Amino acid sequence: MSAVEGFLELHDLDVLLAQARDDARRGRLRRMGYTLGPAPALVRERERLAGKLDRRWLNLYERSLGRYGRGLSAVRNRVCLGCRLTLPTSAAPPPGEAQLHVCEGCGRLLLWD
Amino acid sequence: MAIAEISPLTDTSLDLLELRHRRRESALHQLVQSAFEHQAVRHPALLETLLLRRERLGSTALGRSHAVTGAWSWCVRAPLVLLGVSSKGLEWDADVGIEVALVALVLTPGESVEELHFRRMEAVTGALRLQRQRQRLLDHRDLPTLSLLLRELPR
Repeated sequence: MSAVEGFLELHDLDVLLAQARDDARRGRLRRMGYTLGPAPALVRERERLAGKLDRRWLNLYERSLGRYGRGLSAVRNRVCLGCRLTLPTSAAPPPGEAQLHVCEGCGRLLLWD
Repeated sequence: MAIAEISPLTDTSLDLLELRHRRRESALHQLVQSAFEHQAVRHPALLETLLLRRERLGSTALGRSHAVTGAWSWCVRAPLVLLGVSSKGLEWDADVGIEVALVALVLTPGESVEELHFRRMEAVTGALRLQRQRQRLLDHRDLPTLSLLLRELPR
């Protein structure tokens, strides 16, 4: 698994955990007819996954997660979809390569489309 | 004055497919692969992992005949609702013996706000709540019936 995929998975897990922990989200899901079980198993999975990721990138991810509620953002046409900053051409990874980058505007990890 | 007849654009955000397998994991795999073929997904394996994790948090079966699952993720490129129909029935919750005939997969791109994903999920769960609506889908099994049923779906 590449570093990009690792952070994507972590981000999805964080969204799921937020749904499981937040009363407003749980209530909304309950009204739709869902019953959510306890989240400790997901917390353990998150710890296991985070342990495999580079500490430096993880710190940046968690800082953005705490600040904005999401630590990852996609890039489309060189625009960060988190803060709408146009990124320099030099920031783009070579075609076909997936590399981690940080948005200069908001500090989120970037997923280049 | 010439009058041009303009045909409506095809709605590419909905699709209906026949599920071939009996197991939940295989059905989710088929749905995600179909979404990938629609170019609505960028990392199908990760999306599948997410959907399986969601099932572990609590079953997405609603009642005894249908399930509605979904994801709001950066793995999703474009909004898409897929409806899988199983003639043989799917073993969705083997522990409690729940078999479902209809499975909806609601995909919302990560760039959208979470509120939109909730509204899309509410629209789909609401549309499939009534038995007669589900029966109509099972009887017709076509896109116009699905489009009519999900006409209130936020896009």
